[in-house]
Amino acid sequence: MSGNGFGAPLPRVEDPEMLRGDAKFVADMELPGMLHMAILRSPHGHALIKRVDTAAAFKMPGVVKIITAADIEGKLMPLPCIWVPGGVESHFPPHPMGLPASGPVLAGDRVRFIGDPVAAVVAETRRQAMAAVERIVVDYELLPAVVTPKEALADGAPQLHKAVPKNLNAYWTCGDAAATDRAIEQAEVVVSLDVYNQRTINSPIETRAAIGHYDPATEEYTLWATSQAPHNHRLLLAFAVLGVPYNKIRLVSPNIGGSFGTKGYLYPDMPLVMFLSRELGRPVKWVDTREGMMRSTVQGRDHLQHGTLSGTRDGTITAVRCTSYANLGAYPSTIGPGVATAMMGRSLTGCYAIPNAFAEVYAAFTNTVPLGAQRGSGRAEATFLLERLVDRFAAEIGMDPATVRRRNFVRPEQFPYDNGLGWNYDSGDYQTALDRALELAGYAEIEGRKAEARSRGKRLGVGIGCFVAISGVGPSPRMAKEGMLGGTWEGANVRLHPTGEVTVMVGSTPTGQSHQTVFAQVAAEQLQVDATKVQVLHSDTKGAPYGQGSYGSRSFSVCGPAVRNAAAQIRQKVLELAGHMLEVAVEDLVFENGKVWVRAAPARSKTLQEIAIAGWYGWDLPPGMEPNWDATSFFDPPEFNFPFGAQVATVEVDESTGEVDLTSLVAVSDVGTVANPLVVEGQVHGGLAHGVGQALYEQAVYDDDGHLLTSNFTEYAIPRASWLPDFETERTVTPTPHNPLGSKGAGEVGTVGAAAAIGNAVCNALAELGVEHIDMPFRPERVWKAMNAGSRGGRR
Amino acid sequence: MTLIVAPLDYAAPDTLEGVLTLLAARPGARLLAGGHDLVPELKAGTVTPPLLVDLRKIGSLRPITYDEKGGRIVIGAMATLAQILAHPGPADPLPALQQAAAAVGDAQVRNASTLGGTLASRHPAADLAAPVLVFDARISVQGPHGERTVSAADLLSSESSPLQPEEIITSVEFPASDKNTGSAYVKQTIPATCYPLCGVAARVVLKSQKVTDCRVAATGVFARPTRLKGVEGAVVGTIPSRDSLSRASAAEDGEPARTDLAGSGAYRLHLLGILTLRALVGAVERAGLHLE
Repeated sequence: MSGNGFGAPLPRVEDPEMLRGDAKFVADMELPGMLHMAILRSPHGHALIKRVDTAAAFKMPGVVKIITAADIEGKLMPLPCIWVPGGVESHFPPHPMGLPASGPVLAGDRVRFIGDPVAAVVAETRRQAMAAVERIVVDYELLPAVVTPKEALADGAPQLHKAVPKNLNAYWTCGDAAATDRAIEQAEVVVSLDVYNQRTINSPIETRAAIGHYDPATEEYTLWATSQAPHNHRLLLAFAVLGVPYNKIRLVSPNIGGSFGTKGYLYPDMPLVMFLSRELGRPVKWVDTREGMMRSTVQGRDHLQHGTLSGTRDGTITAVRCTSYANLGAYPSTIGPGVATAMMGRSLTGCYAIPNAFAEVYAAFTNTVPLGAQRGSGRAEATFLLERLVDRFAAEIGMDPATVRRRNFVRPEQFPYDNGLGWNYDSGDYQTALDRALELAGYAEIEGRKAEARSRGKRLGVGIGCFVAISGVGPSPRMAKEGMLGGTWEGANVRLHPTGEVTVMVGSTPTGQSHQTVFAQVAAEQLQVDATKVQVLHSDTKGAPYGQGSYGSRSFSVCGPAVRNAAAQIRQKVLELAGHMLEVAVEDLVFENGKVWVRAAPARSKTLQEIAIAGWYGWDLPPGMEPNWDATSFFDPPEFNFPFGAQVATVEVDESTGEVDLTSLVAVSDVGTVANPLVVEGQVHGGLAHGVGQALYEQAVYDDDGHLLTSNFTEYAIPRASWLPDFETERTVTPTPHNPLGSKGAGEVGTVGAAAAIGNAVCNALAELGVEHIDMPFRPERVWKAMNAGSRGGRR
Repeated sequence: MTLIVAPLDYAAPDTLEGVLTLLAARPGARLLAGGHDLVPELKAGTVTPPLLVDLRKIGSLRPITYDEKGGRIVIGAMATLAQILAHPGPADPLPALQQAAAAVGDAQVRNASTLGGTLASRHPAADLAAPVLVFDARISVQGPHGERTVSAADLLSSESSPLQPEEIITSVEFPASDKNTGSAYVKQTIPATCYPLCGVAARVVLKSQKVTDCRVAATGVFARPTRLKGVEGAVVGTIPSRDSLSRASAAEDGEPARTDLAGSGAYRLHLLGILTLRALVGAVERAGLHLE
């Protein structure tokens, strides 16, 4: 071992290719004879399609084919939805396979949001296809639109789907309503807040793209796509969209330039390029534009919440309750309804042992882009509400917010801890994380710093965001009860080559999580080889073992154990063959640094290479041993895992302009055992940036007709690297007992606490002005208005 | 919106004469002088010129010339904002121009964006418009009938551009500043675009602590970048203090301010008062008077 195995800060092996600009993405791929597709999207939030005239467009240069809904009737099924709100009655558009449906591949008689696809044009070049799209004439009859869930649920609201009365996908609850209401009624202190956790637009640097290629000789489709769940998408495309055998579809995800949740969904362009390639006998490529992405790729958050928290004068929280209206958009996205209900509702108690808790979610359809996951989905929305409520409670009883938190944390000896809402926390030490974060942030000296800031015309505020972020989806039987129509395990295959090197193939697909680095480290540890010599392959369904996708911070804690277990099988076999070769028992062997030797006689040894080639030849194997080195393992975790942490934000608010300057952000994270601290550090930094983005800048804005007013980077702001403070990060390590690595999810921990910490800091800064709450994003004008209006001034 | 530029011709002549010939020959041709404003419009399809004439090869439009004796500085129309930022002097007007240039976009934008291009495209929220207005810069323009100069106010504050389609800005001249002159630019940035929600430049000349000349201009607030004559009048003749400048900053009772997704008119007007004061304080301190 060269010291770069499990736990070592090995620099990402993916980086050189990315930094040199050599990495190839779907948009970089060219196939012989390839055609290009462009999609005509609805310009209206809600309208009937009376007529589509493609004649003029078809005469445009280079145009090969134009299709509308009529052309795919009976050939392509609607997209399916596979995560329904668990355990409750729910209503969906119908799907011929008896599943809940998402949206149509092409809209036929009606468009329901400004990204609904109406027609697809195929031409010799991308420019020709886009130019022809502009020439398609569609007669629309405008319908009244509805863009917020509360309005969608009201009597007389425009109705989106025949099969969905009152636009209500589901009324979903968790917890004990009666006990919670009783506790609130009897409480000494009750605080409540209305919070709009605004809709956000995921903005990975790479837009989505797809290339379809149909081979008539084998009747096989190949789809190269920006898919973070290739095996899952292959399955859905095969049986629920194209209606072809699973073994006739191959899906390949090349490098993916970020996702943050968006690329785990099935989109119309994927079956379209496959279908059109079969129709035309040539490969068909589609690459989205930024505006197209903003109009058609799932958006995040969008919960309108009313939260109540009760407690005693001495700071004990007795109950928490939340009513939320979740905006699902025009169609249920692939897993949107589950994200909007369970991931938010069950996360409501956060780090605290709260004896009475209840959450209810009204998930409603509106004429907006479908809702999906954005980094930290559900947990970030619950955490923001809860942490704001805890601060309100602390203010109400005149207690330091840190003290209130310490008084109510789930204590280390209480694990495993059932939070009463359906999550069973694995392990944690919440107070240690908070104490360290406060120390790093200089919390003790805050009063003096506030006074100094006032002398400069600034209001300084400090805010805490403590969180638990369920990860590692998940135990498949448990997820079935949660409404997931699919398995949630992962697979890995490990091969030891006759020359002594190792190849790992995983079912999970990276979108920036460093699979090639960390899975190599896991295998290197088991097989005592240099991690940089371990090849990691992924994301091609032809060859890769099955897996379910990289979402919800699950790749390392669910796929990692599969890699570990497959490598451990090889390791055991290496020892057995070495014992046979050296004529000693396995117990008497030491396996280190690419070599196996006899403990009592170190000179008697075999290198891994010698053992590998012996296994490959198979000339002299112990009785019963199969030749060669190839092990596959699947891992379905017995439980979720629960990473946690504490973040402390410091802001200075300009008294005259309301500008918020985030001067410091401290994050102490605990993601259990870590395979590579550098990689985790990078994930935390990226996550924090996402939280800062939502807190300070981002908001998707629709007008009443369903037009997206923020459909480009000229209107939709995301933070620039230079605007972020130098994050101060540390980790504590509390392993999970639910997988052999002890690792928890790390991809979202940064995001889940950050917006809450910043929100608490802004409100702390303005508390003396009577400001109780301001909704995100904390743009200067909004903050200025709240400062001038005082209490409740920041409401939307 | 296609987001792909429609087919067009492209030329990058070596000489100014070559440019003028092309402009005369191809009505509707547009000049490319950085492209910060033009390229997004081309991609959006809101302009569809038959020909783009790229000015990047005209070396004579690049230099910044500073006459140390006379104090005059002439900035070539194709000088980039990065060039302006790197220039060592003079003490006025450069610091305020540099504050405005530094506040534009990001490093890549500043490497491409030019002073001439910025002024010619007349964006209502161009950062550099504010300092160019307070320095009362003279803009040299070359056309088929020879050279002429246009005032900053005529170019930037008027409803429509005084430039003819076949004319080209060649340079911008900033007159020499007296001693005891100071200037400053401050802004609040719109996060999505980095344009100012409100940007204010101020310039004061002091004589025996008294303000003998004051110019203030705002960008991003009104339909056009504009001088704030009310504020200027309230400052001239005073011995400036924070209080007097604060009162003067509220003296502008102008036209209604822009309202859009980035901010309301009411907030822009509020910012105008705050940022005017900050710009004036900055200018007075640069002019050598320390304010308590």
